[in-house]
Amino acid sequence: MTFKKWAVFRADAFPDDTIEDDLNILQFPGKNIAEALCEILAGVGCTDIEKPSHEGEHGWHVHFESAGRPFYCQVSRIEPETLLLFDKNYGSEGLFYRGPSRHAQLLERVQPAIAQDPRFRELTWYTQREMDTVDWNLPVEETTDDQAS
Amino acid sequence: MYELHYQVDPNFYGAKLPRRGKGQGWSGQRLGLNKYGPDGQFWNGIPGVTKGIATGAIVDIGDEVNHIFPQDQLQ
Repeated sequence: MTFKKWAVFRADAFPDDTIEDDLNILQFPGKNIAEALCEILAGVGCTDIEKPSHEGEHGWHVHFESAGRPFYCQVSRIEPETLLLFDKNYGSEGLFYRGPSRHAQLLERVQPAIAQDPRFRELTWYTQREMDTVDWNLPVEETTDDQAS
Repeated sequence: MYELHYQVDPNFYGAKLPRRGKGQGWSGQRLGLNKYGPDGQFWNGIPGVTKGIATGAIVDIGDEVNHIFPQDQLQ
């Protein structure tokens, strides 16, 4: 089954929360976006929502349950675009379960809730295949700093 | 910078760069890189040391088979 489990959006409404020294990134950005997603997930009835965990260059993960089944969300802030992934975990669908996909049911609830939030600008959803074949990169927007210099 | 990670990991498309890369992060797609297929992701995602140990183990097993079935050895 192919679900639009990836989202690409512009996250400039969220402050850049990267922690870095002169050479390296110590903590990748996106924690504040992951925290916002925790609230959205709670609003659509997800449970056991864990605190965001730092996953290095992947960004941030949020593990949660939907209809009693485990799923996770990944936030990767690349700039100028940020990627979201809502994916299955081991046991999400159930070995002998033959009903409607729980992953699809989760996406049906989550996608409109994120679309309603104005902080997720220029939001578009993609399948895994589309992520590898479609040009989803957003153009770099000139900031007022850029224009001044 | 993240080239191999991009090619072998279906859930990794890029990351922010340190401050010197201000304004734009590292995106494998923007650089025109392709991801490996499932087999390539599996094989190229295995560290070289692990590949060496696995190859050595296969050679070892072959050696053991020769000891157990010496009649099958080439004359």
